[in-house]
Formats: sequence, structure tokens, C-alpha cells
Amino acid sequence: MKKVLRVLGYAVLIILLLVIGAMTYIKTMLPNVGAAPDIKVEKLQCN
Amino acid sequence: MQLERGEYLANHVMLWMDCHSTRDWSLFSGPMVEGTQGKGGEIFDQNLGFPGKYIAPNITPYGLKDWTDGELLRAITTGVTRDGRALFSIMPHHNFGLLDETDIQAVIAYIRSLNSIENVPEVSSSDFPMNFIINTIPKKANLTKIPSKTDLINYGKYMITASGCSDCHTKQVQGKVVGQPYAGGFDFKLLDGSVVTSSNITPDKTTGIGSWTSDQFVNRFKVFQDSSYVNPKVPSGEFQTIMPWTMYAGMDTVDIQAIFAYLQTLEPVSNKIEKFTAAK
Repeated sequence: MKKVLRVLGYAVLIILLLVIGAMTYIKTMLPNVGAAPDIKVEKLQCN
Repeated sequence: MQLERGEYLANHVMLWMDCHSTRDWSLFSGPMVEGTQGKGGEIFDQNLGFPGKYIAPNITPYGLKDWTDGELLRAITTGVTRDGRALFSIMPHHNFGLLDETDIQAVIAYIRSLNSIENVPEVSSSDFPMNFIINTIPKKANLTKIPSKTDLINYGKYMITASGCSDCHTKQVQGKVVGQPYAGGFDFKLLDGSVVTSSNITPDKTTGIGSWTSDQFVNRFKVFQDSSYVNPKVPSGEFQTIMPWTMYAGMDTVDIQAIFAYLQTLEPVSNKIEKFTAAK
């Protein structure tokens, strides 16, 4: 019984760490679409 | 040509002026209030079924004075602001990222030419769990070249992507797509509590537009372009729609025909829609 509880405890801890890790990654590393391009839009007036 | 193209796209196809201006909801179809073009401030929040409070930013030169053209291009086509925040997909960057860069640049040129309006709308925020999910939504753009108008179906697909028809005509709940593409059923709660539901525009003969002709489809829009048309007052509880008919009515007939031709190639989906439910 004690062993089962210990295994369950480890499982919950690992899941918790994975969830925290994923949430931290999403909040700090995403979105990641690269740098803004270096462009200059020409304002061509219609005639 | 570029400004003209940008003006056309922003006002009659991509409808930036629809979301980023003030709309008069006392009138049918909520036409834009003159003098508010691009000022932002329209609210799309939990009352309307969104998973947060999203406020259209000011896209006049006043609101964009610190943005480079490249930052604008990235925001429009990927959904990431200049300071790295993810934009909620009510701004259909997932569609705009599939367009021709020359079209995006044309619209950037156009909004840079708008009258500057001093207005600082509140910054948008998402509720949990969307405040996490939203960061996973932006993706790199997959820009294409606009198909020739002679390639009617592909040209129609391009124009319907630019128009964002699927965003309203595909059922969503809490920002998540749950319905068949273009089969309608997306509920929009109006200010008086009435609910308008998007229609089925797949070519199903009984519940969609399968029995329509191209001319009927075009006329459905063009009736709102008639110079004698005035948006009527809509008393509370009577039929109202969020469909910006008067803005789409300015779309070129050829473009509407191409959209219709593309829609007719879709798989028909039987989905009967109750278009309007008045507030009790």
C-alpha cells in the first residue's frame, strides 16, 4: 500500500512538473514567428 | 494603384474598417460611423461569447506611429504585435498570412494614409485558459501570389480567404471551431440580448446556397450599394445582423462571382439555421 502511494505521489509530481514546464514554455517562449521583416512600404498614390 | 487597392481591400474585402471603427448598432447591419475610420475601441468580450476582452486597436497613424512597416506586416500575417504579444484570432491573421504580400503592403499603405485620430483603446486580455492557448496560435505566414481572375475557382478561394467569410460562417464556441467550414451556426449575441446566427453558405440545396444562381448571390450584396439605400433604424428585438452588408456591397462584382463559384465547389453540408432569435 505504502509503495503504491509513493508511486502515485511520484506520478503526480512528474505530471505537475510537466504541466508547470509546459505553461512556463508557452508563456515565455511563445509566440515565436521570427523577427519582423525589414521592409519599407512605398506609398504610391493612385492617379 | 497601391493606395487604391489598399482602400478597396480595407473597406470592402478584408474589412479592417469594420472592426477598427465605431459601428452604429441602432441601424441595420451596424454601419460605420463617419469620422471614426480606424480609431479602434470596438469591444469583443465575454458578453459576445469570446474567451476574454478583445479591443480593436487604433490603426490610424496615431496608433501606429511607433510601428515599422515590417512589424505591421508581421502582426497582420502572423498575429504577433511589435512587443511580442499574441493577437487573438478574431483578427484573422491565419487568413491574411495566406495572401499576397503586395495586397498586405497595399493595406498598410492605406492605413498609413488615414486621418490620425487620438484614441488609446484598452489593451486586450484573455481569460484562463485562453491566456495560455493564445500564445500557441500565431504561426509563420505562408504568403502566396494572387491567382489570375481567369482562374475563377482559385481566385474565388483567395478572395474568400481575404474576406474572412469562414470566420463567421463556421460555428465557433469560445474561440474554438466546432462546426463544418462555411456551414454556419455561429451565434452572435447582440447588445439587446437577441442572437443572430450565421447562415449556411455551403452548396446544400435546401439549407445552404446550392439552389442560388451567381446573379442572386451578387444581388444579395449589391442591393446595399444602391445609392438610394439607407440603413433603417432597428428597434430592439427586431431582426438585426452583424453582417456588414454595406461594406461588402462595395466588393467588385467579379470578386463576388468568384467567391460564389468557389463556394459552389465545396461539399454541401445540411445544416438548417434559425437566423435570428429575439431577446425575451
